Amino acid sequence: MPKVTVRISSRQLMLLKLTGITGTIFFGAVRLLTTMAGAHAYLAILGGGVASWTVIFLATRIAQRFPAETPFEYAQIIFGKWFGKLFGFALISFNLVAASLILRSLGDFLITAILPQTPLSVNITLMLVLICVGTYLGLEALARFNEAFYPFIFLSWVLVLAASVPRLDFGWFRPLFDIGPGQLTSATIVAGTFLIDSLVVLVFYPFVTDKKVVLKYTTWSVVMGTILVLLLQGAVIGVFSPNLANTLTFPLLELAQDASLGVFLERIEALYLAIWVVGTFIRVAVVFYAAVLGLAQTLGIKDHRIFIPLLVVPVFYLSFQADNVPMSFNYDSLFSHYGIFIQFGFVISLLLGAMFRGKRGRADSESKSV
Amino acid sequence: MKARASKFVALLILLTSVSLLLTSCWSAREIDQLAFVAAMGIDREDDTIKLTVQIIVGGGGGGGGESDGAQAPVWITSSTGNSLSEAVFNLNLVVSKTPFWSHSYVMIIGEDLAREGIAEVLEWMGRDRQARDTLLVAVTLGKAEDILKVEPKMTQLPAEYIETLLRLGAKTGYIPNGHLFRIRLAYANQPGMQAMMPLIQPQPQEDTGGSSGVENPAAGIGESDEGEEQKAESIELKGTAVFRDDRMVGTLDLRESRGVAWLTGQISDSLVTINRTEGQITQRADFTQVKYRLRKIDGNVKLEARVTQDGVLQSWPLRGVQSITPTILAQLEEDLAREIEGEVRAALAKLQGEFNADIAGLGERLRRLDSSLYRSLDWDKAFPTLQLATEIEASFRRIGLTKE
Amino acid sequence: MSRRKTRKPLPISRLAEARGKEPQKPQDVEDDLKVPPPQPLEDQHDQPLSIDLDENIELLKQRVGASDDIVFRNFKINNAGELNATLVFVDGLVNKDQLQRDLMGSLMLFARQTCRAEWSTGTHGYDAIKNHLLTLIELKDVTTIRQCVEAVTAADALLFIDGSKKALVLGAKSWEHRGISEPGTEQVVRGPRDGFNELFKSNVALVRRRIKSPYLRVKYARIGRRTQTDMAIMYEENIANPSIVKETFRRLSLIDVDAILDSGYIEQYIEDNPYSPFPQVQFTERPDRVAAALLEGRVAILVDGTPFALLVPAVMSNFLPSPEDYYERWILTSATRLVRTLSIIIAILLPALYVAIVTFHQEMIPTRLAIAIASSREGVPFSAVVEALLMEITFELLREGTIRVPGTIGSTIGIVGGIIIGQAAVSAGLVSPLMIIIVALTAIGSFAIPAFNVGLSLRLLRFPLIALAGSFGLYGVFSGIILIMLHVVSLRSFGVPYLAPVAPSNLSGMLDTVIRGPLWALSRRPKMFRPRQKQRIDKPAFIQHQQEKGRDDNAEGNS
Repeated sequence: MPKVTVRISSRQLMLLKLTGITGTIFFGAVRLLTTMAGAHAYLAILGGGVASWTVIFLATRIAQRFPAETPFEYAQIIFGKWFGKLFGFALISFNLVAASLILRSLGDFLITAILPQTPLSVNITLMLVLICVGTYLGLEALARFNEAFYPFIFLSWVLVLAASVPRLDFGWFRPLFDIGPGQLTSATIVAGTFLIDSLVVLVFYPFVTDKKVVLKYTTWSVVMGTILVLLLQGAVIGVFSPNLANTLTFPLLELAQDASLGVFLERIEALYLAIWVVGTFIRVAVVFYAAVLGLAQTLGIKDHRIFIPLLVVPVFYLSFQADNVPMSFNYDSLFSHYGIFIQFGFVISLLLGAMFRGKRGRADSESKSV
Repeated sequence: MKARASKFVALLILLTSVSLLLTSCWSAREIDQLAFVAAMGIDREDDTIKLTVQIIVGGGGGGGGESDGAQAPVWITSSTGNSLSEAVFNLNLVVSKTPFWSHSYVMIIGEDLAREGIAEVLEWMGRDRQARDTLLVAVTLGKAEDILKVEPKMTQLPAEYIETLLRLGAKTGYIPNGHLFRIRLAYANQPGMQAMMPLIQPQPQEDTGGSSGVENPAAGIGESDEGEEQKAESIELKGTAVFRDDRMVGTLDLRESRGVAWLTGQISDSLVTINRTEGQITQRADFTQVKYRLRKIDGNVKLEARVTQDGVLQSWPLRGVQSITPTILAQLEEDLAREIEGEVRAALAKLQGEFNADIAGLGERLRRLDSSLYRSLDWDKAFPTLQLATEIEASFRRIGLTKE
Repeated sequence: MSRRKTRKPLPISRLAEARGKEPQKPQDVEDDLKVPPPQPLEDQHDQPLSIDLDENIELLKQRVGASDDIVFRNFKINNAGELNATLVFVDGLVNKDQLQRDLMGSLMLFARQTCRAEWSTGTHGYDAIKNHLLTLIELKDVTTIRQCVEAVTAADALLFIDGSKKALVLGAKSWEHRGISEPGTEQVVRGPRDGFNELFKSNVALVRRRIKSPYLRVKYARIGRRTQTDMAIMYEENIANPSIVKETFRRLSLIDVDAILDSGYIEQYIEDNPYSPFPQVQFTERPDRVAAALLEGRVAILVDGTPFALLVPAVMSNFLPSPEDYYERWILTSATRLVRTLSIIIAILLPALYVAIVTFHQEMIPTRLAIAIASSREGVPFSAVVEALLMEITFELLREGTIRVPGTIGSTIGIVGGIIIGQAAVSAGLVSPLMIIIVALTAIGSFAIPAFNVGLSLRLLRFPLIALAGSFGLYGVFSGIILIMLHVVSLRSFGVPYLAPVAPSNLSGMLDTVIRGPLWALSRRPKMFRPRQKQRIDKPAFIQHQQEKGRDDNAEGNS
């Protein structure tokens, strides 16, 4: 069994989280937020940013108590062997569901936007193959891949934003505060789910080399992610008006459609899509990696890679649960409404459990071996 | 490491071979198997929808080269169906290649269909992934088919000619901005904002119809009297087609159209003429801005539009008699403001009195300023009685290269 | 020998483990920094030399066989007595003038003048000859027959003296060789013109001449059972990370093969991932490049018989620059680097993007161009993807066809390829003209990459990408990119991540990747090679200098 030392830097963790937030924003987040809060989605995003930062702060606290172990390992310390394993399985299934939902969104997106005749299963299978390769190569490769590729994802958003400036009409945001508290709260919860991605911090914390600055960098990722989502959501509202945006399936796609890159390529949304697909890949691969790693650690097996074929099956199966696009949207929306609570639940139960039972992990041994 | 690498190689080979086997499956469309639709015209014909398209004919060899003159650059054909999507589908049965809509320049809607309602057209354009939002849409008096049959002399592609005309025309304010995006935007935000489209017409070929040419400075570009065929060679801008919901309810002429354009602040290159005893003084307006605010006038809250515009002095009939001084310019600016005010009033009179269609988006402006007030009103009922206060600030910023 | 067998190839990851540790002291390292001598040939059994000259000569003749180019010269050393001796050497590999002057002359003419009585026989005589008579510089004792054989085949001359159990190895190697000339593969407009030749010692000297640091270490090794190829491993002891140096020696020591005919053999035996299309060892013909690499903390391997030196570790960013980049001013160089980056992208992606856009995303093409493409493809019997593969393969054929033929024929083939294939294929309706442009651009793009081997291997990746583009459009292209990138980021060269300093990112290192920052801004050695001394320029002093200069300028301006 090869002993592989996995180490990532805080900056890589930040970028992974940032991709987690913005890499998949074009699927559901903007659509859902537009539907729920219209012109006031920006309030929801700001609120969601604060909420998600809180959860991530708590996640960092619990991770600091166990600097050398993943939650799958210390859940067994905190809750005892069997309850801990149960907890681990809950985390794993959460990740699997998340992975399959994103995967399905990607499939829907591709089939709607660029490859209308290619079967959904083929698209999803191709992506799953890539994800398996990524997971097989491990966290380090994913983190580096993301680091090398993130500039392009970022650049694509900047270009979309820049191209939308001429059509922006800030009048659509007015009146600035005209939304019921209930509506805003539920929109905030959804925004929070999209901004949170706390499991990345929780699971990957032990692999980070410079642990002292993790909180700083994750805070940055939340701030930057929130700003980016804010700008994109703002561009959608400012260009399309809340009413028109509300009717669109993929508002960001429409926004990108009319963005032209100079004079050479006119409608380069397919290029944007391809870049966003890479973002999606990173996101799903990271989530899936967390699940695979979790299963290995929960069962106490050193090499996580043998679980890849095992867990690919449920992801593939789950991603075909929705019969049609609106149904898959419904699942998405359902997940978005409860995602933040589930993540918060995981984090807070770990934290409280550890505090009540006074458990602490091993000292940081500089790196985590898998 | 080594095992990993060999797997990488194996995977690459696997993917390549699978790809090669699947090549040309599914979504692939060879580019030469596509029929690029340059323009489409949609007409109502009895109970059916008639779709007329201009398909670009590549021409044997060297597509970008000069046309030989022998072969027309476009092929005009049509199909019919009970609905637009049916007509679009039926086009496949007429054209041997797959129609491809992404490169369309313009979409022309016939008056009959426009009066009956264009909801289905907008629905199709929004849902189909090939239609793009930058497409220009216009309504024609008569049949859309006739517009597509116009054979302009200047440009190779007739559709490009129509597109350029519509794009440049929108700057003058004589016709509204016809981007599909604008229409969808207005359609989604009614009744506070109603849709409007450019109104065009093929120009009759008889040289006697010169009166329309004078009335319409923009059409002067396309004027040409060489052709002797029956087919029209140019297109005339006729103003605005006013929509209420999805139905066309009337038209505005060029002057009234510009009245609306002042209110939307969309004029970037237009000519305003003041008639004075000394002669005609013209200003080429190149900047317009409009701001709305709520003002209390005589105890009533009124919506006020503040139009700011400026431009270049173009003609000065008093040359040599009187030099241009700030005082005279100030007088002229007042005249200019009065002229613009007149255009705005004329447009509003028609919109409020005849059509009850808020194409200038005044309702939306009101909503932005005071949403509770707007919500308390039924805008469909409130619009005809709206008293819009206007404040026009016109100015000559530059006077050109001669100073008197 | 037994030691070597017990060593198992360590996973590369072990090397990474050593990363955090303190650099070891040279004494501890020294033991590891040896490449064990090459395995003797299988049929050789060793035995000590006898005291009898004839017996020794007989034994040697048995070993080296009846080769006519091996000269046995019997003569008598004319000292106090007359001592029988035999000189053995390979004709053509030794400097005969030198032997005649410094060996035969000393022993046969002048021996009597300096000799003493006790020197006349046996071991005393041997030592006396070695210490007092021979004026040759390189001398070495050998005591076994195997060492004798090795010395003779390695082009040393061998002196047997009657009555001694030792033989003298005389270093007088000399053979015909190419002079120092301009390197053929890495030509520069500005910069030194000397390149390596086939003599590894003079190559070492070329490098040594450039680095006068006393910490420059040169270790000799010999690999190859039959070729007994000499090589020199060079590193700067105070800069190079000991773990990298150790790893280099370890990997070299694991090579046990028949022949090393070029450094390419070594490369293939020591690279981390032999299945990767990306080269993980850099080769160069330029001593200045080797010097620069040594000062970055890398290790150079100079192999006898080839002008190509190897540099390890080598990461992606090492293949982008040309040595000239550092001699020209930085703004110009940065622009050139950007062009090269673009050329890499073109070389890998352009045909795939073309296929993807033309068969899947026609809306992306400007209308007029779309029409032009459509009408130029009218009548072409193949789909765009087949067309692309066809033309790319044709191009590879052409390239391979021209690369080895003599220059004059090469240009003929170029004309045939360019005009007949290009022009005629279009007019025959086999391919569209645009495809010719795409293929030509790809070719130029791949040749614009300074490292020839990288250009070649990157071009290979086009084919799977074209196929993916033909079946999934841009989604396929980007899937391919994901796969390639995943492979690249997980690749390591001697423990150094292949995509460093981009991923894992190092901001100061990125100044010397797709752009090249000003020399004074590159004050740190590349972090990825984990040098023992991180700073190469004392930056504060430089800034101080700049500030002082600025003050002076101001003062001048004011006065």
